[in-house]
Amino acid sequence: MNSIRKRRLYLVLLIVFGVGIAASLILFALRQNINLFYTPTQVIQGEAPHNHVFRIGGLVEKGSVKRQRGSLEVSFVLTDLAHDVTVDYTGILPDLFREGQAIVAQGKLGNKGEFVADQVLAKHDSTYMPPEVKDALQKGRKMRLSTHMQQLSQGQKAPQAQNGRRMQVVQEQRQQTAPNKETNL
Amino acid sequence: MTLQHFFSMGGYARYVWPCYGLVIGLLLVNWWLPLRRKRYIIKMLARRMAYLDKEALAKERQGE
Amino acid sequence: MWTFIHKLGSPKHCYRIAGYFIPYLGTISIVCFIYGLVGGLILAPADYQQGDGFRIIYVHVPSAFLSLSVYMVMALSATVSLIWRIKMADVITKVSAPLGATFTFLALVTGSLWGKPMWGTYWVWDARLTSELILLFLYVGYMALESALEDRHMAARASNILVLVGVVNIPIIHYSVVWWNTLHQGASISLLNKPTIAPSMLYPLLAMLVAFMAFFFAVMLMRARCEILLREQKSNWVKELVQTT
Repeated sequence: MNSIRKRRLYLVLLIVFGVGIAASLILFALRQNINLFYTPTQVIQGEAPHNHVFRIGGLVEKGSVKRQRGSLEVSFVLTDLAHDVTVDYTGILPDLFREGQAIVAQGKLGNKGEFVADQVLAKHDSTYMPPEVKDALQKGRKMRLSTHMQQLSQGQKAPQAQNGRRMQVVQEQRQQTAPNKETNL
Repeated sequence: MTLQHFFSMGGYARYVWPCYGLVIGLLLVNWWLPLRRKRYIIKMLARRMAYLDKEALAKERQGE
Repeated sequence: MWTFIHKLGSPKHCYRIAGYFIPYLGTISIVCFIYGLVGGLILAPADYQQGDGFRIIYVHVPSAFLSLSVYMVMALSATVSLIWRIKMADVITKVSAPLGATFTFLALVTGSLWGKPMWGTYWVWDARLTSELILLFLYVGYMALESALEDRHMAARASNILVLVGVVNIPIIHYSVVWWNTLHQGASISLLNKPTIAPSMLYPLLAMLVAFMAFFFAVMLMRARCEILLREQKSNWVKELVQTT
């Protein structure tokens, strides 16, 4: 490679790395704004904005969904397995809304610390399988439930870690443990 | 599985079929455009060459 | 080896070699696409959570994958062009852009049609969706800049630098679901981990990926041949080619 080409190569590398460093600094500075939602833990600790619309994300606590008869009013507990926040919502829920499902709700904090949502979105994980396989997996899992419970309690010890990722893992574990009512958290 | 079952896509027909239609449509357009363009370019170049030839011939005659 | 690479740099050989590969790529693309359609729409079972709605994956994931890979092809050829000033590299960058924009557009639209029934919304400003939208703007910006400048060399150099600047967006798109919390889920297929999609659903998806890749290269070469004809219209081999057809 002759000297002119070498110089051009350095220029190319300079552009790519320069822009890369600039972009990572900007993204680092904006990291909380880029996150789509706050977790219940962050909300309880007061990191979420007050009197301001924001999004909260977590798992729908099993057995916590209460529907008002004859209306679209629904309330449920949203958890990240460390802290819980009660969510009130009036409206149509997405197809994937169910207990144990990860969801993202948009709204404001109410006076009693409850979250008043005006939009509820379902988050789904990246696993795809036929229903029969799911059933077979669950049957197999019943036998190995004790190890799963261990994993779950391990997961509870580090609630602050990468919320989105962890939530997915926990969600999968929760779904796997789902058929056994007595082992519900 | 019946045909009706297939077309209803478990109730998601109005999301699934537009997706497939749009993808297949745009891919076909992308395939067809360069074919048309190549025909056009060759035709245009042939016309231009014929025109230049004619001009050269005319100049030659004027020279005579 | 070196003579082969030198030949690749010459428009005439480029034109010929491209013409040789196009039929094969086209056949691969069509065969895989048909298998992917049959496998994805009929053979693959419905998902345990999303039912038949998950079948959008067979067009969404390949589009999204290609939207990123086409940009990497453009970044590579832009680098080659900036350092070695090879004319054919410019041709590849230029003709890839509309295809990349198409794939990005398809990924965005199929994604939003998938998001409505499953998430409950067509669009959300999370990191993955926003960075993918920026990718579409990068493609469009590249095409605008490339066509706005009169002088071909100036246009190539300026637009190549734009491509290099935009490369930073590619890892951002890819890792957005890891670095931030988003509504979009993580990847189902990756090089290092076992896929989290059942095999009966995976094979049509892989076929679609191959089909889309072969489609990109076939159409890219078709477009490149047109571009070469235009740029080399004064050379003798093009004149001969025009006269014989």
